[in-house]
Amino acid sequence: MEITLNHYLILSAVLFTIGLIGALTRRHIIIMLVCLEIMLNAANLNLIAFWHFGPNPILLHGPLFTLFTIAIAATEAALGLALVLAIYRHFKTVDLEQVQDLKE
Amino acid sequence: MNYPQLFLTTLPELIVVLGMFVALGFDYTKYKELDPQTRSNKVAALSTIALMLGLAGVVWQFLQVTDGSKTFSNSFNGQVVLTPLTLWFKGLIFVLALFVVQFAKTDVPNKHVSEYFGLILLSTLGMGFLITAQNLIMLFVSIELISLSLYGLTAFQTDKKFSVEAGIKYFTIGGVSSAFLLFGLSYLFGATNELSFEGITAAITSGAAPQNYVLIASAFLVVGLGFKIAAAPFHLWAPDTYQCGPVPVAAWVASGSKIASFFLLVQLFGPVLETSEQKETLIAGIVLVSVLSMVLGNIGALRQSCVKRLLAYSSIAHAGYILIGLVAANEDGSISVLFYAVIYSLATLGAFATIGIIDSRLGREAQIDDFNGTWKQNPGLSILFMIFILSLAGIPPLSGFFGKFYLFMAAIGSQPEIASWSEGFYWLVAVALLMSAVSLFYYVKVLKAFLVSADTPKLPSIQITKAEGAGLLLLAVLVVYLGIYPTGLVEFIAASLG
Repeated sequence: MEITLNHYLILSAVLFTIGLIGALTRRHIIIMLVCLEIMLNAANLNLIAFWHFGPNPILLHGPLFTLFTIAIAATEAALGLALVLAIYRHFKTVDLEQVQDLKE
Repeated sequence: MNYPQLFLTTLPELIVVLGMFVALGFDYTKYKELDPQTRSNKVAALSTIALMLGLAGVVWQFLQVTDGSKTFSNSFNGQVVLTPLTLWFKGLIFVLALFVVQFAKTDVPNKHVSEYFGLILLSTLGMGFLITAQNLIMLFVSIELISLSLYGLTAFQTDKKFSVEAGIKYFTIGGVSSAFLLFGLSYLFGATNELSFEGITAAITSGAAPQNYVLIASAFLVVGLGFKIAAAPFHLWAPDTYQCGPVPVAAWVASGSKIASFFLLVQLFGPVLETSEQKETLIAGIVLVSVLSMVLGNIGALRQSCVKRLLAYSSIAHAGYILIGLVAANEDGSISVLFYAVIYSLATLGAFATIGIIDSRLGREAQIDDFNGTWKQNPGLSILFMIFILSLAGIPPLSGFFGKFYLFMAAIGSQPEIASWSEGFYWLVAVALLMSAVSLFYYVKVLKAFLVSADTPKLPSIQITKAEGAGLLLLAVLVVYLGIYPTGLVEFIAASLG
């Protein structure tokens, strides 16, 4: 079977959905960070697939964008982990369900 | 690569980055032994100098570009495009950042003084770059620069439970929105095979781009940017962030990042909305977001007693009003969106700054009751606060009124052939007017506590610093000036947008 652009798009859509469902339902902050990474990587997969199957793969637009987003995803994870530490100091848990002291 | 031109194009940002490192270096070495308040004053002074020099650079570029003696335009495949309009807005961001630094210096959250101001400067740079970016890579990088700095700033009071909790909420919701944004951008790239706005616009207007990709991209971008402008139903982070972050940070989230995001929204969606075949679907989506924001924002604000939370809900409602200008989908709409973003930011920055001053003197969060009889002790502060709040409420002759007027006129004028009120956008404007009337209730409730409440004043007479006083006064003058003479700014935006 030949693998076409649509196969990649479907795969990335599935990845994005898995990430989104995880980010919305899982209560552990670390798992949530992992889900955020999955969502960002779904977008990266899109970029590379569109670039590969696009009319001018010589321009390297796709990989360039992807390199930037990988770096940004890393910084986001770093900041997230710093926040997790700060949360743990106050709440002695990383369960988002229990980090709900703010009231309406 | 033309290095001298690259240097001149990014000169203001380079100055500010340099200033930030100078401030960090001095704070870690020479000021190490001083007490936090002195350090804060010194670091704030350094940041102010850096921002002023950066602003001078922006003004220099502006003069060069307007008289045509030098062009920076379309440099580097659209990464940084300097036109009169983008330079004007970048200058405005730098001016607002100057105000924020003045308001921030009297009440530093903890001993990490230079990091606090450094993050404010970094987010300023991100906003400036976002406005001048005409390329998807630069767009995403600068949005993340803004967001990551603001997450850090919100959670900056690490010794306070609520600040950290607001930070993690902002971070998780913001992270999901960034993923939506990037996914949308990837489809936009897929549809057009271009990264620069110019190429994307050309591909979409010529009809070369596959329509279903454009539709998917737009849907994801609406969600991603909806988070950034705190429009309902993506607004859940806003009340907690505004209430529990440091107040100058809340002011900065509500003003600077809003201007930058709306600027991006106009640039990105302007061409799509004007020409795309999917116009109807997209407009229906934005109308839904707009109505939800206005209703949920205003209804939510009614039952708040904490003033910062009230302003947070009011900012959600204002995002709804501004989106009305976007659905007009013509040049008038774009002009009115940009104009309203400017005046809304000025007024909301002023209101937050006043509350920040009161909060820091009270030593806790100000409730509406705390303002009872402030008029007697602090007449100056009360008058300034009244100007900001009345402008937010849209009372003529303040600028908020003309902002709303332009937004609503743009929406009505976009479909001139429609006569019945139930068609076109008449009903949308009717909802907006109704919601403005609702909003009057809670704005006046705050003002009533300030001005006419008969109780004995809870607040002592407040001493404000010169920098704070000058900042507030200047903001109030701008709010009044743009209300009495709005045509200058509107004509400038119209001339440089076309």
